[in-house]
Amino acid sequence: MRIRWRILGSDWKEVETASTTVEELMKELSLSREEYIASKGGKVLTLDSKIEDGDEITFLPVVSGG
Amino acid sequence: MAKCSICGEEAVYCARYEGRCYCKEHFIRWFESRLRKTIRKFNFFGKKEHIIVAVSGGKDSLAALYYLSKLSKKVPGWKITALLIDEGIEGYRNVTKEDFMRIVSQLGVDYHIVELKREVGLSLDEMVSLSKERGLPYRPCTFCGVMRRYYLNYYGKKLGGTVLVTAHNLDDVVQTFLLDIFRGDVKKIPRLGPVTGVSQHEGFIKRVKLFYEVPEKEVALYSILVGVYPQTFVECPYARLSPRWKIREFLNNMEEQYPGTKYALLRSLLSLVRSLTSEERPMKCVVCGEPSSTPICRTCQLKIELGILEHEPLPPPSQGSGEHQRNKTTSEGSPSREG
Ligand SMILES: [Zn+2]
Ligand SMILES: [Zn+2]
Repeated sequence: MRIRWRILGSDWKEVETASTTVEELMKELSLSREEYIASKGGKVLTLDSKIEDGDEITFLPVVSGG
Repeated sequence: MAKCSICGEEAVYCARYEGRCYCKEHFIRWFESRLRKTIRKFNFFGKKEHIIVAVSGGKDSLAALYYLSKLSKKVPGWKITALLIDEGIEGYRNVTKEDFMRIVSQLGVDYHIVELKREVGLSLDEMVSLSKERGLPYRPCTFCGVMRRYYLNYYGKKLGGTVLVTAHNLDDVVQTFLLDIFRGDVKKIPRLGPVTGVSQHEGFIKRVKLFYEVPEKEVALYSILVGVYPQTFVECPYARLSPRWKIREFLNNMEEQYPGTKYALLRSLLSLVRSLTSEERPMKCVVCGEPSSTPICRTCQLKIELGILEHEPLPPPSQGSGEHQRNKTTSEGSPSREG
């Protein structure tokens, strides 16, 4: 399936993925779960949340601006 | 899908180190109840306080401001003022300032903005390029860190504050702990206690680290859920130049593989802080009169080295060689103690 994803503040990207959960997807994208919080349509997702074809997922950085 | 351990609703977070999950409502309650515990345990506040919240515009300090302004509605003797240090970092601070103004007006709290450019005569960007020109050995974060600390204390007192709150979280604290150890700066470790500045010197305002026992990720989630997460995410352009960034990655890797690592480090730190009596015996800076562990404080030292503050080098202590010992007061982080 195909999903769209971005890190808040960067552009959207598309990826063809076999991952079925947020945790798997983050591993695939090499995003540390200590560093990012996943969200979809303004709702926060947990690591075991299912992802579906056509999802648009935004990763919110945990690191503070300063 | 993970369910809330308390009510069974859809979870927003699972704390792996305690094996429980929380929905939005119960996460916020759980988070705030832990803050109250920290506040009680370390005696952060009394019944009557003028609390100055050091705000950077990032999510941690906005969350601190949100929580304390909420809590202050139940404590009649409290007054809250937000204090923002505008370092002058192009494309960063001017953006985060917008988030600051939005939240401050939303919460209806008093605020004060200190511009480094006005205080020092140079913005941080200008200091960084002047420092390069002069071949000084400092990273941007040295100027920023030293001067922020200085002006927060100075304005904290000037605004009539009784306690200064910083939004340092568990991650910040254990990162700095490791950095101090890696650099052999053990004498700085007492600064990493939950409360500092109290008995050290009359020139210091009491400082407390509000998120001392909360991981950064949970502060971030809290700020998202209560609506103060900055709408524009901008990372400080200097952040990745700092050795802290490496430590940060290392600690996050450890935490992923061994949940609870950060708390274990905090426990080590706390017992060290209790057993280490602070070696720092502050005096008054001979230039500006603010508290300092060296005859000339770090802020004045940096200004002198940048060539924006005129001051005669101090005579070397009882060596009488007559030689200028400029380097003695300027070498990074190594004030000559005990002679
Ligand atoms: Zn619940
Ligand atoms: Zn000084």
